[in-house]
Amino acid sequence: MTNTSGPLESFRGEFPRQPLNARRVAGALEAPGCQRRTALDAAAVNLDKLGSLISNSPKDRQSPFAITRGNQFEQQVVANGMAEIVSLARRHLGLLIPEVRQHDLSAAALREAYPGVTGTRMNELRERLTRQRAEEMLTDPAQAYNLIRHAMTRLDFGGEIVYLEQDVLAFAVDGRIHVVEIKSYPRIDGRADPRKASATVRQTAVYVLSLQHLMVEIGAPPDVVSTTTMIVLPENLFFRPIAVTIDIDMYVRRLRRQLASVPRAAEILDAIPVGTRLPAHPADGAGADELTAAAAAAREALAPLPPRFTDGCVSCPLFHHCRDEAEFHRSTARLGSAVAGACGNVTDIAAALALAEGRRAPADASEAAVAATLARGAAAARFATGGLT
Amino acid sequence: MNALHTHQALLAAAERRAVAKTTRRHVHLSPRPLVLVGYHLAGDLGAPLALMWGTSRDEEPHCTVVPEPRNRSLRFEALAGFAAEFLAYLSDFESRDEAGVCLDAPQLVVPNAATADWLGGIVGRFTRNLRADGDSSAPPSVPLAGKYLSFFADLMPGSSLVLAATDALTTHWQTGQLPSEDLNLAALLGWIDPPAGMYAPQAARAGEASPPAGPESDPNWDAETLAELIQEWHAADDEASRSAIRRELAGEIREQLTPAWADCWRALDRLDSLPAADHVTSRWQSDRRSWTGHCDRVAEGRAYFRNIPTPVQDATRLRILEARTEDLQREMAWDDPLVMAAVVASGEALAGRVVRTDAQRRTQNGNGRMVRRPLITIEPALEFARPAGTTLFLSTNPGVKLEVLPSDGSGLIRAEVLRGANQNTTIGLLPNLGDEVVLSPYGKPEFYQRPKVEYIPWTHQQILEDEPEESQ
Repeated sequence: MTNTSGPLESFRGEFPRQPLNARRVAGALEAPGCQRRTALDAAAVNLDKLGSLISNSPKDRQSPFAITRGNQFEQQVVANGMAEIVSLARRHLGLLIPEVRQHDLSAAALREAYPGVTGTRMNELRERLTRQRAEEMLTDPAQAYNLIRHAMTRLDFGGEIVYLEQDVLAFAVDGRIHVVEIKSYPRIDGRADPRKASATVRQTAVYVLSLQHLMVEIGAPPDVVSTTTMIVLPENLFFRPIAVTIDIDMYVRRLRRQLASVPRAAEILDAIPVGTRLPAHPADGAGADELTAAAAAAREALAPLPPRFTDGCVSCPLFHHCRDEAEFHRSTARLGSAVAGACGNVTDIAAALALAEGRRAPADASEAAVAATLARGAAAARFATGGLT
Repeated sequence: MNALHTHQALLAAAERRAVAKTTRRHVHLSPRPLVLVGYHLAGDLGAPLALMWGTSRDEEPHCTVVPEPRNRSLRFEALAGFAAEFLAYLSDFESRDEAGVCLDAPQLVVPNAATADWLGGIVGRFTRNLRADGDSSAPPSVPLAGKYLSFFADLMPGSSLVLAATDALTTHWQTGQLPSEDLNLAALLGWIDPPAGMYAPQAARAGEASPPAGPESDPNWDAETLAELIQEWHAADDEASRSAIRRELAGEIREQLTPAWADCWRALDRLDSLPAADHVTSRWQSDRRSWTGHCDRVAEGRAYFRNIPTPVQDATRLRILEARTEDLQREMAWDDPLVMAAVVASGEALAGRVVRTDAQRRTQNGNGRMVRRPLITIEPALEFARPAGTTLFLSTNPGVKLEVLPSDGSGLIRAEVLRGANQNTTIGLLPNLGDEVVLSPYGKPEFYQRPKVEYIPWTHQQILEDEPEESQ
């Protein structure tokens, strides 16, 4: 738990917390303009639990087979002292790594040296060690570790400190730090699934940005962290790793702008009625009545937070709830961004149809434009199917 | 978004039922399609878990399962079972007419585009070149079936050789949900074909609750059922218990895949309820020709597929793709007034009633000669704002080309015939007084041969990275 008790903590109340990770930070930024999601993310609410509680559906977990395969690939890539990574980094990032000095900062690796450190304190420790290693990399490149696994960096998301665990940080002799990301979806005949690839790029941008912040904190120029990152993927259907380098500068800058607008999360919560808070999550094995009551309380707490329902919402854990709401309010957003965009400031489906059929007079110029467009669509259909009469 | 489709989406949501986007069916339906559904192991495209197929809804579909999808020989065993029946189905389409073209072509029906991509792009791609001799060889039917599956991958727009049910349905109906929700066949059918007494949104929710149509299985089912059965398979030490586990797995998988299988047939029924559009036959004819070409290549041992096309091949393909996309749009609009209505709504086409015709009109052309340029005057049903000089074609007779004349301020649109209905033999094609007509931007396609792509266009130039071998 964080020690400050602002509006975010008071809103979350007793509801389970889920610390943000890079994937969720990237996911949050995929729903631009959704105040509901921003507030819930900044308050570090466990979205999966909240989603399955209010829509009374079991959480969609990740398939164990997908997890196993991902782990197998990562193990293979980092086996033998990360030999594969080193050779790929030499070839693709053009790094001269005459001697590999590597260091693992994962919780498992540190547990021996620092017994008894757990939870948030472990994260802080790993973050401190990452900072030290990074400083050494810059001040004493000849002696310092030049390949760091499971480094931990921090990012400020709406006032909430997010700890991010990186796959690999590689350091070059020319004084720049590169981020290496290992993924297990395949590249087939030179092409990877574009949706997965773009998710990876956004996630990697979160790492790069957090490292740039770290550089600023230790007094180094942020461009020490290269925006050219290396993604390691399996080639075709086999486990042979290949690497793709990609300059994600554009995504890092976009992310910086988006993050700058996040601190308003607290303001969002300031605007809702005082005392609005999520209920405690019922214990495992709680009765149906208790679950129903908690779900109703959660829905009530969410109601004052304005959502922005768009095409991308299907991947959000709250999708079912927001969809029901959009349907209940007969919102044009329910039909997707294209329809909502075409309907402009007319957000009600019945109102849009009334305008189209002339049952309602447009209130302003933009409503008149929507009315004209929709009436034209309706008239074209009538002409086609029944003639003008 | 097109104004017509926006209005239809609003209507669908308000009336809680799908709205027809077409009045006719624009895909060919085979009397004997092969309906095919399947799963692969989560996160592992190359590990088929189950396939289920059949050519008749009244028969129990065939089903093959791989008790350990990561085991190569078990995978080949299952694929060989499928390959034998797949090839038997395809062999029914070998007979030819006098011109040497196959009399009919096969048709694969899958629940969604993702399944089609997986079968052609992964299963076909990674089995077509397998060696059938030497060590750890594959059964010979597997690479042959792979060549056929590769043929069914990456088809051109307008082809009906493979029907992805969700794509075919969304071409014909507009739902009142998110476009990404339309990718779920069961939910989509909830809108288009709800059970009696149920409104579409409710039926779509019920559809969402059914197991996924593939090629990804339900992760909760993976964790709760599949993982356990695979573990039991590994633990079993004799043939009897293994085949018992295999039977149990087949039963579980049938339960998961049967809804998608049944939904494919429901989708075909819905499509079959629409009368076929005129150009469906000619497009199917071109499908038959490409099927014939593939059979010839297989017979001659020339059925090769490039894993990575050359830039020139890519550019050529893109050019054909663009031409076919345009052709399909044009043909659908000619065949179907409701499809044309979307073009009218967007303002590109003119719809209205003929209020005056002047079949004998003559004007002076650029060379000073008098030429026959019949004139029709149309009272537009919807405002038409394209400028004078816009060329349009009669939708019922796209050979008739007209040009919009400058407006005379009356609100009527005057258009003169440039060709197609300006001679004594063709003047009868001119619309009559009082006719309702649509003048569209879609003319008869030009028949000249498109130039071959001989050099690499700038769009397809490759930036050579430090390692040219990576692009191979």
